Amino acid sequence: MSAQWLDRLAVMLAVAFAVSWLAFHYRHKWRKNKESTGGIGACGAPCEDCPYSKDCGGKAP
Amino acid sequence: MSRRPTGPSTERVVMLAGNPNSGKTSLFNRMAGARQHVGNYPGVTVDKKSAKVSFRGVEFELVDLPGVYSLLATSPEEAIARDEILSDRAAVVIQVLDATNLERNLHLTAQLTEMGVPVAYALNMIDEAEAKGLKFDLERMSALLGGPVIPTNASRGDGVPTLLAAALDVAAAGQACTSHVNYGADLEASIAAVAEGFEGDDAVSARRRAIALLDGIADPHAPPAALESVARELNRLAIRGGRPVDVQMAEARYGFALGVATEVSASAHHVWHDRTMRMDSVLLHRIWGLPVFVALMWAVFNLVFALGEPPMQWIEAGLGGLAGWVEAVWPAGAAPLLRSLVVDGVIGGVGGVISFLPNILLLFLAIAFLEDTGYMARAAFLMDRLMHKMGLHGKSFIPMLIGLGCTVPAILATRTLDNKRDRFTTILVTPFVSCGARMTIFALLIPAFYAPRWRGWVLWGLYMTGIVAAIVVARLLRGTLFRGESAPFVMELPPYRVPTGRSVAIHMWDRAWMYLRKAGTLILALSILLWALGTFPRRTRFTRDYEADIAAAPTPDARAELQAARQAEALEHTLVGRLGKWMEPAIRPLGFDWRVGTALVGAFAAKEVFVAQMGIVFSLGGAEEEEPDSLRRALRQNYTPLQGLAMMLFCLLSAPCLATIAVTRRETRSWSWALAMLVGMTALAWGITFVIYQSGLWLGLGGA
Repeated sequence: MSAQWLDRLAVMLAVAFAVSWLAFHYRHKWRKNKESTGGIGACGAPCEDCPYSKDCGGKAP
Repeated sequence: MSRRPTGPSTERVVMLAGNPNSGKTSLFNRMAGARQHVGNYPGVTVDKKSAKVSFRGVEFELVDLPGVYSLLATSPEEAIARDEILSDRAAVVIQVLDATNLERNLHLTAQLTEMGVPVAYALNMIDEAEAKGLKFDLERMSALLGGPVIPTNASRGDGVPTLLAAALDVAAAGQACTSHVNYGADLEASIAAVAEGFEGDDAVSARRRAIALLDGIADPHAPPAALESVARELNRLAIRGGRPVDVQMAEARYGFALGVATEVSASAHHVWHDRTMRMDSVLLHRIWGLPVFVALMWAVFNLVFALGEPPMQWIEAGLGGLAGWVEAVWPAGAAPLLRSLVVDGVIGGVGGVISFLPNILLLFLAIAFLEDTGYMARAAFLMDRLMHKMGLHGKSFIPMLIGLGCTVPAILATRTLDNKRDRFTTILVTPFVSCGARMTIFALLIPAFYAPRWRGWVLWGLYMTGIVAAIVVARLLRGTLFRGESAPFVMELPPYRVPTGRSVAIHMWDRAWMYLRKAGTLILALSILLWALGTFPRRTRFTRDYEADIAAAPTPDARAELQAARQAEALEHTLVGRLGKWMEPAIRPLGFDWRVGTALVGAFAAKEVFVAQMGIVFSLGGAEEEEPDSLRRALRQNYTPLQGLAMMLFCLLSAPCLATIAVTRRETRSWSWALAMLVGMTALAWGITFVIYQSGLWLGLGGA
C-alpha cells in the first residue's frame, strides 16, 4: 500500500471516528432527554445533562 | 390541601406563636378575656395558657404557645411550640410579628412556613412602627408569606376582630402556607437527598424532617436511610461550604427574613444597624442600586481582559510552538493530509478554543466571588424590581443568572416558575443572556478588533444588550401571547461575607474541567469533521497555473500572496466553501462573508465551534499557525471592527445551540415553541445586526 493511501486511510479513520462519536453523543443525549426519569436538583429541574449536577454546585433559585 | 381539622367548629384550635415580647400574650388576653386557663405542659415547667373563645358564632380553643425565637427544639419552650404546631390539632397558627423589629421576627416565620400548617399573621405594634417612620406593603407581605397579614395594636385591641376573622377564614379553607425558604443550591440538594430517606412521609413532612436532621436536631424515629444520607450530606456540605451546616442554614433563614423585610417595609429614617444593612443601604438603594450593579459588571468585564490577556498569550504561544514543532518534525511531503488534520484541524480548531480558558475562568471567578459575597442575590433583588415593572415574574431573573454559565440548566431552572405563562416567557428569553460559550467568541473577536481600553466596554455592552433584549422580548410576549399577572415570591438576601478560597476554587475547577472536557470531546470531534468538510473535495484544476506563477514571483510578498490566493480558491471548492457561498447572499448585508457563514453554521452545534471553525478556515487558508495571535491578526486583515461587532451581535442574539433547542422542546413539550425560538431569535438577530451594520456603513464607520 502506498504512503498516499496510508495517509488517506488514517484521515478517513479519524473522520469516521469523529462522526461516530458525534452520532453516539447526540443519540445518547436524545434518548436521555426522552426517557428522563432522573433526580430533581436543587433548582427543581432534572439533573440529567445539567452541568451543575455534580454536587449541584451551581446557582439555584 | 392540609390535613388540618376543618370539621365541627368546637374542634378548632387556634394557636398563637411568636417571639418573646412581640405582644403575643397581650393579644391572647385581648382575645380570651377572662376565660383563660393557665396550667403547665406535661412534664415541664412551661406555662400552658388556653381559652375557649367564641367569635361571630364560631367556637374554638385558643392556645398561647411559649414565646420562642426558633422552632429548632433546642429548649423545652421550642420543643413544645414545635410539637403543638405539628400535633395536627391546629386549624390555624397566628404568628404575632413585632412590626418594630420585623426582620428578627421573620426568622421564626421562616421555620413556621416549613411546618405545613395554615398561617395568619398579626403585624403587631403597628402604631409604634409607624411612629418610627416605618411603612408596610401589607398586600405584598401577605402574598410573600402565604397568609393574610393584619395590622394590630394588641394593647388597644385595634385590628383584633379583623385578625380573628381572617384566621378563621384560613382555618376554614385548610390550606397550608405555600411560602418557604430556599436554602440555596448546595443545601437544597442535601435536603432533597435526605428527604428521600423518609419514604412514608408526605413531601412537606419529609422536607421538614430532613431540614431538622441537617440542622443537628435528633429524630429518634428517622429511618436508617435518612440517617445514612444525613451523615454523607453533612460531610459534603462542610467541605463545600467551609462553614458549619447549621450556620449555613441559619444564614438562609436570615436571607429569607431580610429579603421579606426589605421587600415589604420602607423606613423614613434609614437607621442601619449593622454592616449588612449599611452595605445594603448603598447596594440596594432605589436610585443608586442599579447603577452600582452596572458599574460592577463593567469592572468585571474589564478585569476579564486586563488579567486574562497575559495567560491567554502564553497559551497561544504554547499552541503556536506546538504547531511549529509538529510542522518542523513532520516533513510537508509525508502524509500531508494527516499533517493538515493535526495542525489545521486539531491544533487550529481545539487550540483556538482552549486559548480562551483564562478569560472564561476569570469571568466565572468574578461571578463565583460576587455570588459567595452575597452580592449576586442583591443583583437578583434589584432586577426583581425592574422585572416586576416590566410585567415579568421576579423569579425569571434567576434562570437568566444561571444562563450566564449555560442556557441548558437555565431553561431547566424555569421549572420553579409555577405559572405556565411566566415559565414559557422565561424559557423563550433566557437564551438572550450571553452564556459562557458565547464568551469564547467574544474573547476571540474583541481583542482582534478593539484597543485594550475599549475591550471591557464592548464586552459589558454585549452582556447588557443581551439582558435588555431578554427584558424587551419578555415584555412583548407578556403583552401579547402570555397575558396575565405574576405571582410574588421572596428573594432571599443572605448576609455579606468574605468568600472562602476553597469554595471559589471548587467553582473554578468545576468550570475549567467542564470547558476542557468539552474542548477535548465535542469540540475535537466537530473540529475534525469541519476540517474534513473544509478539505474535501480537493481541487485539482485552478483558474491559473499557481505553481508556475509562484516559482516566477519576483518577491517573497508576491509569492505569499499567490499562495494565499491558491489556498482560498481551493477552500471555496470544498463542501464548507460551497455551503458558505450558497448562504453568502443572505448574510452579505450583515457584513459577513462565506467563511463567517460556515462558522455560524458550526456554532449551532456548540457556540465555541465558531472559534474553532474560524481557526480551521484561516489555518487552511494560509494563516501562520505557529505564530501567536495568528488568528486574530488574520481576522484584523480580513474584517473591519464594524464587521467584528456585527458578528458578535449576531452570535449574541441568534439561535442558541442545538442542546438549548432540544431542552426547549423537552420543557415546553412542543416542537412549535422550540422552532419558534430558533426562527424568532435568528430573525431578530438578522434584523438588529442588519440595522447596526448598515447604520455603521452609512455613518462611515467602515465596511467590507
